[in-house]
Amino acid sequence: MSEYFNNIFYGVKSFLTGMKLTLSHFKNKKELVATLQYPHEKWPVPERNIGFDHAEYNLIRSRLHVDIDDCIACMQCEKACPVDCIKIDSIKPPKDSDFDCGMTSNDTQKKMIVSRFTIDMSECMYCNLCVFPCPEECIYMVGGPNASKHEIDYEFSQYERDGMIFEFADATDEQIKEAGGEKWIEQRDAKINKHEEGIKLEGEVKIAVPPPVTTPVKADESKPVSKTAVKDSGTGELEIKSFNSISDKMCRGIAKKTFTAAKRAGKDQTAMLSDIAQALSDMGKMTDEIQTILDGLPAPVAEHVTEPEIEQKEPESIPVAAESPTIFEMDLKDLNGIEDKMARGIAKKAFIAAKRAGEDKVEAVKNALEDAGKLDTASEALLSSFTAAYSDSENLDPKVESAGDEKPESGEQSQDLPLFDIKDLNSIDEKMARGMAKKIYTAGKRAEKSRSEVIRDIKAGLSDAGKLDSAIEELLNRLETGS
Amino acid sequence: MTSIFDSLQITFSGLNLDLMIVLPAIALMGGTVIFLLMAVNALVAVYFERKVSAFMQDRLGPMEVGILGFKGGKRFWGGIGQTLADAIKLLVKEDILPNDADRVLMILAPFIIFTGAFLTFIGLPFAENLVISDFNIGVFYIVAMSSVGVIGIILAGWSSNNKWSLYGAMRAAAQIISYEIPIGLSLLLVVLVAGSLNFGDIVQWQADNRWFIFHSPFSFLAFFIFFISIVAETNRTPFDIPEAESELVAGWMTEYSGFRWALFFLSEYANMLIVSIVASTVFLGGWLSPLQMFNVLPEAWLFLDGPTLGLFWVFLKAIILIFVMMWFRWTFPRLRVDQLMYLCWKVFIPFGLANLFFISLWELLF
Amino acid sequence: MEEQLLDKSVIETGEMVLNMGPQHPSTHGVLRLKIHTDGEVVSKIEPIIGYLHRCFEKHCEKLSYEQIVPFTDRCDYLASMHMDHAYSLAVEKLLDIELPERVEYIRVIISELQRIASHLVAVGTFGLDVGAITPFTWTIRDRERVLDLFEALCGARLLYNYIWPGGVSHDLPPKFLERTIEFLEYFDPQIDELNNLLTTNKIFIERTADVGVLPPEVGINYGVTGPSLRGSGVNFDLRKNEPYSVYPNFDFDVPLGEGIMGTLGDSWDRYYVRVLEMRESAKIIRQAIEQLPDGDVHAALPKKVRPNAGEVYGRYESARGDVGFYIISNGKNIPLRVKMRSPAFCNLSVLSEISEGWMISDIIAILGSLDIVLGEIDR
Repeated sequence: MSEYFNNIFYGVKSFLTGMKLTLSHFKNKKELVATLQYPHEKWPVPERNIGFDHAEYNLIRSRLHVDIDDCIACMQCEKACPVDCIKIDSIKPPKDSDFDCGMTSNDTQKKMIVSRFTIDMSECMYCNLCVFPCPEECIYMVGGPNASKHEIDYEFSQYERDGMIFEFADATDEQIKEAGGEKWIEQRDAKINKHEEGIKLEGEVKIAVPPPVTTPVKADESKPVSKTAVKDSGTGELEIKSFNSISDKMCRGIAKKTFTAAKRAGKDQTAMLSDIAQALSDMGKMTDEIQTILDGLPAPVAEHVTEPEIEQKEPESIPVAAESPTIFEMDLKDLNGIEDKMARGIAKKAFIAAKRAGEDKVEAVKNALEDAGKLDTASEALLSSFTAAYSDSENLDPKVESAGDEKPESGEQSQDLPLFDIKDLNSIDEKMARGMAKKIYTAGKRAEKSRSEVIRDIKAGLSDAGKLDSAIEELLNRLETGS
Repeated sequence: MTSIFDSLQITFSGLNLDLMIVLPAIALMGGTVIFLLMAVNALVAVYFERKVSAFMQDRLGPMEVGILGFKGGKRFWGGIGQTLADAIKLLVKEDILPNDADRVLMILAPFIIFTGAFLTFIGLPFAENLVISDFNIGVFYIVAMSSVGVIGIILAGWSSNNKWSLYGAMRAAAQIISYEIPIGLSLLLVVLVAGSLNFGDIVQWQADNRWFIFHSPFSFLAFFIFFISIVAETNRTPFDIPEAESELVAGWMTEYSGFRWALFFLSEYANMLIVSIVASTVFLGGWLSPLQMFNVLPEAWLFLDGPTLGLFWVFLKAIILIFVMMWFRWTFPRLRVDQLMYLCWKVFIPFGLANLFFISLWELLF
Repeated sequence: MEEQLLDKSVIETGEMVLNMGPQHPSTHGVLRLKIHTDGEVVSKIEPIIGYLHRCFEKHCEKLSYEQIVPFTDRCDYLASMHMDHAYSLAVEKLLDIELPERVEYIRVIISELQRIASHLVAVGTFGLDVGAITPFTWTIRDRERVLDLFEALCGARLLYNYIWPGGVSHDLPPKFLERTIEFLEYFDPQIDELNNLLTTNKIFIERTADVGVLPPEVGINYGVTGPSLRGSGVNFDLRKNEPYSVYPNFDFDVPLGEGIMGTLGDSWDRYYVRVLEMRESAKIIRQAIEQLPDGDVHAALPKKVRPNAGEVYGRYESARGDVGFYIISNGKNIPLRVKMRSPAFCNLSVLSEISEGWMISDIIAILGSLDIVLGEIDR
């Protein structure tokens, strides 16, 4: 019996002890709360050293970085990596050439140039093993004592997985060629082409990945990226709301459904519209009214994307030009312009076969249609317009490149240019100025200011902060004229 | 004591309307008030609980979400919109019914639990004259209604077709039914002394004499037993074995999501409020002010004791009790099923019975 | 009709098989337990493992000796330093190299800090298993401080790759020792707080004392090691019994279970041994900091780890018990075979033996008291 009461007594006592303890924590929350409210307050990284001085701080494993100028392509880090996330290609100039590979900051004569130095940080396991063998100390974990060499990536996060692949090599194609790396470039280009061809066959639209860091991206790689970016910004303007002007309820539904499906499939704007038109006509709902609405939709976008010069030259082939200025080859989607359903099917089949075999697609399609007896005047005209574009493209190529430069002139004529993209500001070198400019840009965009107004604002803001130097001013002027 | 129901009926009777119209109208008004009270209670109590737990664990708790840009006053009490956001999330969340579940029962179960909590509010006094409907058998009604919920729990556990849910439901049934006995015994003691089952009479007795908790050592013990038992009745730690997270995942709520789960949640916090209000009414003087006991106030301040602040005193006492329940939760480990039963049948019920006997003697002697 | 219902031969009763895990709040990772129950009472229990298998041993046959270290980190991810240390000891035995004194002392300091961090998690999650949530956040808060120290030491908070065959990757950062002492000063009262809140709580004692008693002979037969075995009163600690590194230089006790609150070898004993071991570790760290000599930590680091052909078995007392690395070398820089003895695996195997006849709630408590880490069991 006494044990029974002892138990109760001990129990109550221990409960009270515990409750006293938790209450004291509740009361003294000001001293005891250990939470750091992360997005609002961060440990400044170099000081995240539980009290050590910055200079004495040992190490933080934040992200791998390579000072590519110091790299002698000794492959030590590639060998040390347990998960093979580092890929290095190097080119050794032939003995008789007088190509100078440069010196490292440790005064070592470089014997090769690094044509590729890729680190896939999504594979990296942060073991730090690659850092130690490096004879030139050019690969290191960002942070800690290296904070002075490279700014710290605090969150180190990307929206796209591709953003985790970092390319450090900055050798240009000319340098590589000079060093005798034609074969390497050939191999690389073949690889890229194969990849792009695969994407095309899949019918995917490449999503523009903004270069993740300020590290220089290879010149030839950056080109397609920026071009697709322009295209994308155009696509963004076609919204599901645009179809609200269609009065017939059923038609509107069909149009919207097709639009969503096309959007999911990643099709571009022109393809989407042709899909919609196709779907509507299949249902027998295509009226003149809708036709005009649909025609009206892509107009502003096409203006934005197409090079005016090309438009003048081939007024009938707007879809091609609107597709993308870089690709002159016929696309599968362009065949949607053929009205007869059966003929379209045959044409598409032939197109794909030709594409796989690497033959002349237009010719193949034409032949196929002829065989089937479906070649009418309309489709012939359509095809011939491609032929012209295709054959012209080779001659035109340099001209087209320059067409891009000439665009500002035509831009000046139309007074109200659309607002430029925020990415254009990335070329501002200084970090603070860039941030400031971007902030003003965003504010201006929200207030729906025009291009010139926004640029004026940026200039004023930067000069107030004393950050407006000649390079930025030049860039802004260029942006104002629309290049 | 006049109830809201009565006073509304008197008001409407002046308008000479048909009784068939008046009664539903009054019921609807009362129901809306109760529902709003339950919803607001859940919103506030969840926020309160999260903050209390956070501070006891050296954390900050919700800090981000505010209402209309206002995140909350001081650094430690931010995030006042969090529970509202959670509620909206729960309402728009997908409601999943498992394939092999008993669909009818599974849909029905949360509503039964909700109904149990809802009906209890009808007899609950918030202040003098502030009760939806005044019963002569108020205490009895509340004890009866608060045990309706267990049917819903058993149904929920059974219909989910999940072993964890079944375990939770069986545990809950055993626990809640067992703990009704010590609750009943403790309340019986009060009823014995006050000689009435009506809340108004019980509080009136306390106004005439003294608060029940100070009436005698036995009534103090009765309050202790009553309070521990209501913690068990509302399935809160250290008696949360029906939903024991580390053992049964979520007990009888395992398969529920979205709106139906929100109903469980609403009822759980409503039950907490109900039992706290009952405890404060029956043992802690209800709408009587604690200042009254000491009689320290000057004449001009006496309105503080009066019925004007009755609502305030009831809720203050209830909130303190709710805080203690939360305090328990964030301090103690969880009991095991058999230990829970041991506590009920071998500690609380013998003590409750002895209490009843001794208080009878006490009443005879004094 | 009524009689028929009451007749037991008509109502079919049988065992219910309950699948606990791999997704369950308290199976400490991805362990699956197949529990045969009669009501709440457990009659048989089958642990099913392998949900976290990452082919550690096969990986080792493709990697050089240095490259294996980050992979050992990932075995017992709550005590990575111990895994590094155990592996490095085995490789050093194979290489037959003498280490500088400073390296040994640094290793001891780091290992004991790691033991504190690991036990804090074990103790906290054990509280969580029996329903006490607050002790868990408190222990995790203290563990954070140890991790801060480690971050200053080597830049990583969880998977360190710090102790290498032949040395350590970095020397101690300046002020590290002062900060460690500061942490220990802060830490001692925290153990008292934990004891007041959890260890001596009546409900906690009721839940854990006398539950899941592991008799010493059963423990030895199953190969249970570490705090789980010492909870049963068996004085077996490799730091004392087969001293490695510089452990003989320190004065410390091996806490043993005494059955204070119930039977010898119950869950409470296993829990309390861990609490006491944290104090002992603090004692060792203090002594090691006092005796820490100077020197170059990279002095004995081999340029290339390429041991002669042979085989070796190294043992180490980790936070969970006796870790063993069996390495066969064929004279290349890549081991021919690496086999790891996982203490948590042996500790888990005793679960079905000691948990029969207990309730489902107790299974959770017993599992928690064994302190398993699935990363190490599945490798």
